[in-house]
Amino acid sequence: MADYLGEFEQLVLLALARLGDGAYGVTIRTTLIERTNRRPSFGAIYSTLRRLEGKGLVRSFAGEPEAVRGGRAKKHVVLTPRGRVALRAAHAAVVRMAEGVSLK
Amino acid sequence: MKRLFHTLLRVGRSDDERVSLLGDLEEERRTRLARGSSRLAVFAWSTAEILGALAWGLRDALLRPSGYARLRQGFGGADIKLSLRLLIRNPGLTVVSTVGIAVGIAIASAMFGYIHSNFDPALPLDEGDRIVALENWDVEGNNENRHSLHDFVTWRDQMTSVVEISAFREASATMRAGDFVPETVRIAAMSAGGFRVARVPALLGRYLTPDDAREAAPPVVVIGYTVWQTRFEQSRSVLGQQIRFGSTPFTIVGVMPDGFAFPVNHQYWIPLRANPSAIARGAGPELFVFGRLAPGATMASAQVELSVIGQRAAAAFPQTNATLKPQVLSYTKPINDIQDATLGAVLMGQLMMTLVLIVIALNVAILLYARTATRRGEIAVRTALGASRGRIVSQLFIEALVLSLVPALLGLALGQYAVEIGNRITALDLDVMGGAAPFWLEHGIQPSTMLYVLGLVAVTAAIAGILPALHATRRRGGADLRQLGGSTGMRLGWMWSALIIAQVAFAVAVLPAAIKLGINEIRTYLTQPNYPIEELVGAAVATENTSSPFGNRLLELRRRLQAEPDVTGVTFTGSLPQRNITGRIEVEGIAEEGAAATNGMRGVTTFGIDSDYLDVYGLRVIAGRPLNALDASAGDGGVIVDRSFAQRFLNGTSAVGRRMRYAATPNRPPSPWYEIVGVAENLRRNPIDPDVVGPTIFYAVSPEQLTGVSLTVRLRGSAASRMNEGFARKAHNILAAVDPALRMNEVRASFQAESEDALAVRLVALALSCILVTVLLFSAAGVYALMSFTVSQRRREIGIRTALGASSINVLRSVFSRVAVQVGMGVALGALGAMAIAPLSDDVVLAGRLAIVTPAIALTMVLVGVVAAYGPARRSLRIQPTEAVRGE
Repeated sequence: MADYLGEFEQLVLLALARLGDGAYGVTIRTTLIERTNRRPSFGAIYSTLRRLEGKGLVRSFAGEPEAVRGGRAKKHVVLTPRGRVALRAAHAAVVRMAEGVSLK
Repeated sequence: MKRLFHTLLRVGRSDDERVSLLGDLEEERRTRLARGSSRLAVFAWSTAEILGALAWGLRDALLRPSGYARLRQGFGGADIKLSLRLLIRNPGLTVVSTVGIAVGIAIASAMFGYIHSNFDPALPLDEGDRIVALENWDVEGNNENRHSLHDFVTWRDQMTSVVEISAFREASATMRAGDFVPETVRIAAMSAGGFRVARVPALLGRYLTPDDAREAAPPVVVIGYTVWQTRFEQSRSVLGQQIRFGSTPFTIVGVMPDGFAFPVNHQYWIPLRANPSAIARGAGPELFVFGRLAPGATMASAQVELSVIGQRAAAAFPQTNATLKPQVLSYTKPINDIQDATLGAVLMGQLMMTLVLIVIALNVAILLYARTATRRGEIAVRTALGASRGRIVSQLFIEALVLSLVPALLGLALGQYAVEIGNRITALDLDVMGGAAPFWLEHGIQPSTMLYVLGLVAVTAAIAGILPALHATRRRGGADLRQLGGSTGMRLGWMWSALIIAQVAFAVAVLPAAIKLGINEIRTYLTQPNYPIEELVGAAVATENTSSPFGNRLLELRRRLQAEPDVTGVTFTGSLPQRNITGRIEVEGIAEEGAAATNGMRGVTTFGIDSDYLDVYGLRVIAGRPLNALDASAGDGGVIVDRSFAQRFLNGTSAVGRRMRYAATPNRPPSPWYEIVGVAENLRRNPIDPDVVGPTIFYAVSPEQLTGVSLTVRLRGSAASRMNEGFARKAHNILAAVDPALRMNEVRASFQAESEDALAVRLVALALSCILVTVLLFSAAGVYALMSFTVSQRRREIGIRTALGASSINVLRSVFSRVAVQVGMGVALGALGAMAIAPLSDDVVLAGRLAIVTPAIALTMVLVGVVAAYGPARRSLRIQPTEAVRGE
């Protein structure tokens, strides 16, 4: 059985899937703001990423330090195959639940 | 500060994660600055983000099974774990400290939050910090002068450092539109430039233009989003429809977007029509003038320019402008009606509240110190194993931090509640706000308040943790390892003795005044109306049309209301300027000493009533006769006083037939003599203390003398249920039928108005009681901890003395003499302090019925000292001499 995902976890995983190699704190947050109209804090995003990493759904690695970040390195995040499976399962569950339901 | 933030972010995070998070924050910060956000806004944002990240980190650390392991990477997990354990192991200390710190932080943060939201709030408008107010300050009267129509025109035409200068006037009128219930609404009569200052375009139609302000232009109105939504169902055809203010129809030409309530909290805007050529200089409506600082200009440069213009006006029009000094102020200052002196007083209050917290922190320090002393052995072992002094001090600091964090959250929540209520009271107090919050008021806990509380927590933890820690780690070396045996070798220095003395002195000096204040508040709260308040409905009635006589319309309104089946009586009160005097009261024939005794007597209420008033309120005339129409027509007609007046000023002798007047003051001659024609029951009664009920003087008024009244309608049965059945609407309809130019405000069941007033009183009483209980609790706990600790220190000494043959009496005497000296000195100093502050408060604290309070508190402190010393002293007496000597 695939891992259970909370709503915000799904959104973060979808952001990762969308961003591919370019996913790190700032881009994940920008994507969430643009597409969901929510303004999650960095604290919330990092907390979620750590949880997902703990479940083995994402993997992270450090980049090079950059001047624009005050000389600090990015923490890049990518989906793992297991994460992709979990995301697919969660999405399918939503689609099945919504089938035949009128929301108008 | 930066370092503190970085340290906070370690909680519950690995190093690479923290570095990446800080990098993200930095990147976002630079992006925001590049996009043109102000530094202040970016700072507020990053502070909120860091606090959010801290909260998430803490949450993760506590929720995960490996939480402690992660926490160790930050603060040192063992320290936090140890601190939590100690909190559980010492529940007494935890509870006392939690209550104290929570109350201290609640008070300090409430004060801070209130000041922040009222004294210089940021306007949520484009470049809101560049919107300023211009106001004349009358140096002679020491108040603002807003009859500044001519100056407004001059400023608008001449100033270059403030542009788009505009003005608004506050107005209210009964609004009627279609089938709606008529409603009294507040209107901003604003010059057209006001909308440009706000830089918010209309949602529908247009906003006001200078053409609308011409005398001949048709009356137009712009409405707010809320009105559009609730009254016009967001219909786009609202433009061109008419609404009536009083009897004048206005055409709707625009709808403003959601959230727009400029200049204060308005939903209706009409053009400001005021022709300077028709109004004398220094006369005309009260105006609030505002504008935007021109690019490059500052408040200071604008003030320089305005002062020059002001001097020119003073030279040209000495009669009206000689004493006026125009000022450039932050936009909200005149609206909040805050003068600099008040701001100073409030900031002083803020400082005092912070000091209360520091006193509490010192007490927590004492308690922690006593506990630290019992852990000398543990500290010594850690030192022997290589822990540095800094390491141990930081451990004790973290313990204090953990101890302060939970109460800080509690305090923050409590403080926030107090701020909300404070803001409500402010809005009710200021006419220009009309009882609602202004548009710039932000709800919820502000980042700045959170930052302040964080600072307070750090200060509290530093005092309560670092002070005792530094003291405990002062003497280093193996000698302390002996303490592992269980005895303690810490000596209390002079500082701690001084603390006991200061503690007792503070309690004795300050608490009686606080108790007195609290008791007064509670007594006032217990005062009940002496009339059937639940049957009464009150409303303010005034006229917009001063050309036709108000009296006839008021009488007609009363007649029609009385004809309603639900109504059992209608009456009104009003005041005549010439009778509205306050001051010392003299009663003819009462000896000068008697009159002098009334000097400074506050709370004498004087107001005008119509002849039905006492009947409607159900108040009996207990001597003499009621007022009649003749009393009203005579300029210096008779008055009725209440029972409380007769008791206080006439010592119970017969009042009827005597004459009273208001004594002369340096600024005015005495009032004419008024004959007392009757004595009525008191309006209010107090079951506990009848003296609290202030004396009242009633004089007669007739409708034709007034232009506005407070109307009271007595209903059959409960006013609340009649209001629910639509009595307010009925009253408005009757009013409109009599004359649409009549205005009725605040139609409310009287007990509702009463309970709103009571809320403020309750809040003050609650805050005072909290402070009182906290200070008393802490003084007692602090003295107890120190005393019992001091005596524990001497256990061995006492044991040896007993071994050498000292009698129990001798031993006890030596213990208690020290207690007596310290507490005695505290009581003496406190009594001196009480005498010193007594003249500062107008109420007597050291005399009268409350004279007992000071000695009672002194006695409590002595008892606390004795009880604290008794337990350890008794234990010491039971020590076997061999046991005592073995320690050496």
